[in-house]
Amino acid sequence: MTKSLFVLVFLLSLAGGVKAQNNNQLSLQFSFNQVELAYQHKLLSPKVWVEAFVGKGNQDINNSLDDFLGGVRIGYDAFSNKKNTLGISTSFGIYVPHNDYYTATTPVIGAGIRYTRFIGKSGKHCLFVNAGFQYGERNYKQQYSSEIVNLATIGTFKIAPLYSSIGYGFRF
Amino acid sequence: MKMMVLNFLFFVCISLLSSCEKEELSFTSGDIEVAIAAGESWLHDYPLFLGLTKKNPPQYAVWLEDTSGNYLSTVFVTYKIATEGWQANKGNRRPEALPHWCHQRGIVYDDGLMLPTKENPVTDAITGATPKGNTTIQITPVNLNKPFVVKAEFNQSVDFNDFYPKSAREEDNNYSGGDEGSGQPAVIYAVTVYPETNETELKLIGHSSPEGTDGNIYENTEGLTTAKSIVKSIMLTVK
Repeated sequence: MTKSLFVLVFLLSLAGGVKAQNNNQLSLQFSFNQVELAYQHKLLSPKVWVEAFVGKGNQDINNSLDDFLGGVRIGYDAFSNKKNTLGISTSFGIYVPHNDYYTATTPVIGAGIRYTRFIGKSGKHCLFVNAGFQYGERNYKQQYSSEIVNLATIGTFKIAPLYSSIGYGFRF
Repeated sequence: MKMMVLNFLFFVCISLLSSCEKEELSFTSGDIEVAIAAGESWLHDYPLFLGLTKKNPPQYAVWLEDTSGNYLSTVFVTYKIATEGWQANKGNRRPEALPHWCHQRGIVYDDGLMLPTKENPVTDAITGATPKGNTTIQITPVNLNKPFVVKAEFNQSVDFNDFYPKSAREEDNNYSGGDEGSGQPAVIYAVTVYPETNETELKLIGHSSPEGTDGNIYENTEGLTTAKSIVKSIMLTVK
């Protein structure tokens, strides 16, 4: 599933490449517990964008950057000039913890703000900062059987509610 | 292009909907429900850096013994102690975390300690993240003759108090592992389940060795303060 979504983002980026300049953006984002690759496309107006993202996360039990995440963001650039943009966004996605102990594919919704600073005369490169709130919680069942007893319990996986990240984007 | 975006949105929506099934425990006659209610001290401030702290839940294990004190089976054990999953522990294996469970289980690892390792984690029980609050465990006896004993051991790191201070030295009786050690020792709860038991409560029967050097139960709990309120109650119900 991870591979196919990476391929999907890649195909989206190729398809967008034939459109007008700077309507598309490929970006890489980092936070303390996630890495994301995203493709952004302007939709309906120059101020509205949709972004598909996939990435790896580290929010489950095993403290490894091996969880999968993916989804879409829809954003609106509320204030902008040649060099800066300040926008708001909402996101919908899934977070898939990866460990030996449970599976808990978790729906995630979020809302945040993004400040973008364009670099260079052409504005093809940019750096940005995201911050916001996200919600994702999922109960999961764990079971174990032995010759003596069968055991079961319900656990809860919850993603960190506050997030912030920095990123680099290439516009085309 | 817009169709591709819409298709992707549709795919995400389907994924969200398909991942919303609710998980529940379903009990049948003879099953045992162990309901752990979190107490006031379930979450404890663990120091990070620059004065910042993180609310940490306790490490704990629930297990079964026969009435002679022989270990039968672990029911649940938290991930960090089950897999040596500590972070930034600087090589400290934390023998003071749950010493009574470790000694009752009786498995000695390569380094001479009775703590599971990354290479040989606990595999014969449910291992899970520590819940942030109340939790329930379902036990379905298969070859389990009554009476038997249900035991649980809980410990918070660095919950130092006047009786178990951070400043205690290694040669002191109340030494609990140093600056990042246990603080107050692990607390132990137990109850015996008889054939006629319907509902009962696990009672505090003592605490473990503060430093984790033995598996004894120390019945005098006068030096304990917040450790007594890690758990509010542990109710056991035979369905």
